[in-house]
Amino acid sequence: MTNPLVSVLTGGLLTGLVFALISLGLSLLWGVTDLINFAYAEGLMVAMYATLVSSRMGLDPLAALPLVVAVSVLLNLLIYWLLIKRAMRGAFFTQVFVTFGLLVLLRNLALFVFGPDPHVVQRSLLGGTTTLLGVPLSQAELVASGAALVLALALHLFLTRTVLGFSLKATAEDREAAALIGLDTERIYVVTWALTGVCLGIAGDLIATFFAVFPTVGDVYLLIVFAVVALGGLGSIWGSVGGGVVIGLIQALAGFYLPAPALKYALVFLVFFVVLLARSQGWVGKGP
Amino acid sequence: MRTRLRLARPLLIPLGLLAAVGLLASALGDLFFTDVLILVVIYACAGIAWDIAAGVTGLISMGHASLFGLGAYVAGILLTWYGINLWLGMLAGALVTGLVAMAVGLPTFELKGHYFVMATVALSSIVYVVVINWPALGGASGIYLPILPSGVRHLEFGRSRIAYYWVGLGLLTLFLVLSLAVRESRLGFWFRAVRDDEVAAAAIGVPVLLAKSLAVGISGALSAVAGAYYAAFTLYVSPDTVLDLLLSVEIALVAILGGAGTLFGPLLGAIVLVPLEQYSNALLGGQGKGLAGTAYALIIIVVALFEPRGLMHWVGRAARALRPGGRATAGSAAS
Repeated sequence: MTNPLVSVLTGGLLTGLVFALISLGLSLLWGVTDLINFAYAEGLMVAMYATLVSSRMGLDPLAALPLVVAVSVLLNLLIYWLLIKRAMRGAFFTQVFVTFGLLVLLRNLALFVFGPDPHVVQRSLLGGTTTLLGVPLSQAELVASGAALVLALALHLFLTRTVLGFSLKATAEDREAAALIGLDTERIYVVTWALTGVCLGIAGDLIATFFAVFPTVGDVYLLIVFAVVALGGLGSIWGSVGGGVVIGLIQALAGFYLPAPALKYALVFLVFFVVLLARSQGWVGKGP
Repeated sequence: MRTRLRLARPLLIPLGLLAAVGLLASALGDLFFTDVLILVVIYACAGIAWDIAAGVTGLISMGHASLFGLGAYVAGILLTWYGINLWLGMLAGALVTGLVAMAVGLPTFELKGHYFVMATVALSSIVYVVVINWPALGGASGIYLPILPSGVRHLEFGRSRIAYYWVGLGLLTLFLVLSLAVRESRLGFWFRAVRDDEVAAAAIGVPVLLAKSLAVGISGALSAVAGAYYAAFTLYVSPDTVLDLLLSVEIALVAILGGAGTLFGPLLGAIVLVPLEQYSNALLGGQGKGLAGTAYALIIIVVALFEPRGLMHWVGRAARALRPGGRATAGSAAS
């Protein structure tokens, strides 16, 4: 019989890593391109639906991973070429509305094609639970958490050990300076958007193994992801991991102690709000 | 005084046209058409309210549904629990919402651009989550307002739907007059200065923080009035009908499509968008809602990319072309 607090904390840790998995792409995108993509969580939704479709065609989510990632990368590149490139030339006002419009677009397309009802991906290799330290944990969530760490490591190595990755980091740090020293910002943006697609594809595929798929799933994750990235620092891979874990723990503890467990999201959003304000004051690293 | 009256002249034609349409609806007796007209008016009001903060002052908010909804809930609750008249409820809602908007807005005023938008989304989402998890406020199912005898006193017109339109038109007139008054006043000057260049505004002595607070307060109060009227019309408040993120996007879009920062922009935007949305929902229904929503989203994207100044920009140009004398219309006044 484990202490309920232990299971709440372990659950929170796992969920936090899952949040981190989803947030890695946004952290990269936001950090390098300085663009806030309000439709980011809808990209997750699309990846989840891609996984659902593959599963209906008989493919296990793990096997479908390359396919889902490919779809996600393609979508993100299309979004970049058709919409974002133009939007970035406009006022920030244009950028806000284009990405919000994209949010409404993707959500309604999903609604039209798949209908409003939630669907579940058929449990595959990742069904069931294992017990760790006496706490029953979902295998699927464990895999997703592990993937978060693996992906974070991969991105970290990419950003610090490859020339291309280094250019991304440089652009994230100071876009003008990077352009001045001859870095091809256009190519960097394309790479970043493609990478975001990869992150979303992996995240969506794995999350679909334990979370229901429905058109408004983006609603659930959008602000959480923003909170993680704001907390962890734009463009910081390990910051997103840390931020994810913190947010995961906060919502787990809130769910445990609050009278209405669903209110935990209000607390997470409040934390996000406070972090936004704190960053604007320059209390915690680079900010608005 | 005469100058003030003269300034209001541009209002006559649009209002006259709206009144004519109302008479038409009355004659046709088509309830759906009437309802659409009423919604046009309500969304126009909400758009005007949004625009005062966003178009005129530059405080782009994607969380205005929370202010609209707050007004709806305050009025709804006061009537349903305490039997307080909807008109008073509307005033109370406006007061409460205006103050809350100012209080909550104050810490956000240092946030720039995107971050301010995110803060508004965060705050609005907090309201949504709190209300939907608050059983006393009806939770997800919301609250049904009691049906009262028809009449202006109760602000319910069960007998004659079109009355909602006439009262709504009165409300719209009030909103337009207020909008005009704000624009032509020193307050309007402060607002536009803050929008155009905050630092320069401060340098010439504009009290930036105060201006932003007033913009948000007025915008909040007016949004609440629109929300309260919506509650009076639909006799129902719930998180998904009055506090939803998508509602925030709609309110913003109504103003943007028509022309943010212009007097008639929100009205024009509402005239185009509301019937479009209502009729396509009715025609396509069910899953077809997704198709209607997709078309709606495409409008948002196209407007944002190609003509962010909105339709009023074209109207203004056309009006100027038709008047070689060059008397500026209200449409082009604030661009």
